[in-house]
Amino acid sequence: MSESEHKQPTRQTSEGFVFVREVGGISEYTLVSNGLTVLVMENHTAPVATVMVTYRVGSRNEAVGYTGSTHILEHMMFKGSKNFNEENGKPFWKVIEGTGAELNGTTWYDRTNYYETVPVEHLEMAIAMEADRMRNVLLQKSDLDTEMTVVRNEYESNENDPSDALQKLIWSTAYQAHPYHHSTIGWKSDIENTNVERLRDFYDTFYWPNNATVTVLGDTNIEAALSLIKKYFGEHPSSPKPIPKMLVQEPKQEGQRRFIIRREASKTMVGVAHKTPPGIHEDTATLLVLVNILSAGKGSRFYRRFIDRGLATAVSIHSFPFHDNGLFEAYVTAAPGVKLENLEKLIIAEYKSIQSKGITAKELKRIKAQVRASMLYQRDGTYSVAGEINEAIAMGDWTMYTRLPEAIENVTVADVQRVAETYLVESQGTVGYFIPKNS
Amino acid sequence: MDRITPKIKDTTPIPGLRLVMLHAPVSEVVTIQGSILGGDVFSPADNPLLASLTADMLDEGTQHHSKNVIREKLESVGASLEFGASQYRVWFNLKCLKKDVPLGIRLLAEQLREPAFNEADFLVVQKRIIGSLEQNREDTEVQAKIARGRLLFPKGHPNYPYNTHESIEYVKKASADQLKDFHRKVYGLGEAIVVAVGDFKEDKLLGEVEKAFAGWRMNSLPKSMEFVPALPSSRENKFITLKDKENVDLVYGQALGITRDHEDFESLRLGIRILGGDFSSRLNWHVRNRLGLTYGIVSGIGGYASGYDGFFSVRGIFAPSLLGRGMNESENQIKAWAEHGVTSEELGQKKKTVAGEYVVALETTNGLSSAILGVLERGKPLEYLDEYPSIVQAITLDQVNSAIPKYINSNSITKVAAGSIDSEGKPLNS
Repeated sequence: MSESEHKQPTRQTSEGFVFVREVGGISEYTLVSNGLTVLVMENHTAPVATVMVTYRVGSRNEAVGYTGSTHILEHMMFKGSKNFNEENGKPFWKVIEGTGAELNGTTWYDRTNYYETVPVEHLEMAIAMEADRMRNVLLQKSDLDTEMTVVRNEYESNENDPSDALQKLIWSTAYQAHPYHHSTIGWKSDIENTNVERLRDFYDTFYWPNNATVTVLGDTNIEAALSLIKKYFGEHPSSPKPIPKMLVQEPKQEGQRRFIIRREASKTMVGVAHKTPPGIHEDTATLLVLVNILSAGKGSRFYRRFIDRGLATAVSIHSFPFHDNGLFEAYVTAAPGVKLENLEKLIIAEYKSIQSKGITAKELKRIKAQVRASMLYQRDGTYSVAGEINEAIAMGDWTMYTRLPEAIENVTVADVQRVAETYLVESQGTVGYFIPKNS
Repeated sequence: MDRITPKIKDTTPIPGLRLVMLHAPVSEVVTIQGSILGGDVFSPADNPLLASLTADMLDEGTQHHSKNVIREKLESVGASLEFGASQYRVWFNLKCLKKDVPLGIRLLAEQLREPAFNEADFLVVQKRIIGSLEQNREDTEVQAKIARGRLLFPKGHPNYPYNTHESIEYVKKASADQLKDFHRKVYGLGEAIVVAVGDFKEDKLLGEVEKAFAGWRMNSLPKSMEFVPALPSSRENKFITLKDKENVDLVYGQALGITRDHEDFESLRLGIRILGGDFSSRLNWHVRNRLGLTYGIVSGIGGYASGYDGFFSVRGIFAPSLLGRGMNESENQIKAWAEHGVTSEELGQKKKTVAGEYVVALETTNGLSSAILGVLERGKPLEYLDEYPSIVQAITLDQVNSAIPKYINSNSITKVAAGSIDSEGKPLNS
């Protein structure tokens, strides 16, 4: 964060709001009446605006037997609310799609979000609809009866993909106690046994203004956006009880974990994952540099080692910064005739090379240039900035949206070697193979 | 929304290349998209995949720079440059910052004009593509769509898909020399289009394009080609068994016999949109929202984007145990729609959606450049960009309800499903 961003707020406070800070051109306010966090940024490149509501609840807040509840609730949020429903002739989807909006909802470990990118004349409608379903969702059993099978089919379609099955088992093997153990979509039997009472309880626990952030970006001015937010979200009180905290900590891993999935398929894959610290940890920026050195673009180490040599048809590495600890994940899809054992050895060899020899200054310079460019690319349109802010909120601090790129600017060659030595160690690793039954 | 056309600068810096520029108020970002002739239909008869393979080799190095040098140049400034082949054209997409436009355009031209076709690099690309094709053997969506395409179109039609085995054989028999020869004969100026949108100086960009492409050969490829017609509609069903799949892909299709330039096309497209183009359309509303049978079902027109006669398409996904009911409910919806048409209310709603979507789609440099390129590739005047929303708004209920039964016969729609089902579409192990 730059010096200027530490200054005391000087912005005129809009009525009903407290101005908190401005970082990276984004202004943060709190709606005093209910604790709602509001982020706004003007962008006048096109007559369009994006509204996003991020709830600080995800599958990490679920317990055994109720996995997937957050995601099913996200689906149910589209089935109708007090003022927008099929009975009154204003079903949510039909009304909002009628504006030409790009819209959706998504759920992940630490957050659930809903967004609409609309022609700016429909901004008020989008805000009104989001505010209505924040506290007035209908949650009817008849709707859940049909939506459960929709969600189950989403689960089924994911299962058709070997990559998805492999990644799911990597996480559930690496994390035994922490709720990152189960994937966001949940276990199939939990999806099938979900019930309205549980969803209502979940909704009444987490869907409150003081557990949410409303982000508005686009062709509007800040005062106008705040006025609309106050008009609609200001109707809701803050939660009657404190939002519960999730306190489970993963016990220390004491040795490498391995598994094999055998299924009828034509894809052969290996996944190698290592534990990483929480997203707001100081090493996150360096881990992201390391990910990019290994896998960003065709000049990356993994592309050249695996794809250019004909050993693999696809490679991917990610280290998503989450609220709690995460994983540094590498997945390689074998080319015909290439053994997974050899691919695994090569992945580890690349890690060991960085641990012993480090990276080059040229590699680091390339990654920093890519990050700088990507920050500018994100300003092309309104949705991509909102999407990045959404993930920073999930980490626990929306300013990570700008702080992470700033931290990446300060990463050194030595830092990268150090984090590789610290985190990419065998005892903290999980290795999974996906092998076709007929091979 | 303000009219776009008056802000566009339409130029021909060198014969055979049209450069269209639009300054957009986004800081530093530039998107350049474009295309030349040289897509799949120009492949020789004995290897229909040669055009695609040639495009796949464009970023594998040039006669002047190795692939690694090119990658380093682009990636060290955060730029990206991609190539590919569609049915008719070879497309490219460059994204970079304002300061890197000269570098990007120079590399774009060099890769298009002077690819190396290095034998060793081709062998690696060949192996990778074969590997990806092998992986498609168990992909329910890919296999269902291939089977549908082969029931709708004969060999020789651009929409005829080769099956996985055939594709692998075509890739295997290709050589670097064949690609080099194809490139030498086919690639060049003539119908080249470059569209630049974003933050740049017009004169400077024009000068870079002129310098980079000057002296390239003119090709003499036809602007349009005649192909065999689609197969007659028939009520064929095909069920493909793929084991261990939790999800079944179900696709329907019917060849339309018209291209996007036909006077009925937009009316038919709007009608098909009402059937299943978005979440609030009939299929999704009934089969997903009301009955909960699927995570998604969508209808549209496929195979028309390169200017050929396309096909009516529906795709839904179902658990094997719900496939039977899913098919019944989907077919009832399609039948009612095809026989009775759409309502005035539905048409009004969908027109509003399309108008709003157009505004949202043109929000980014990528959206704008795609829209402009699409208009130019169709041979339409640039004004079409501003006219398109009013063309859609002018479509009448009668036009939509006349077009639907004219092209869609619900009694002769082709159906294919792929997944853990038997030859009659029943779940395995039941």
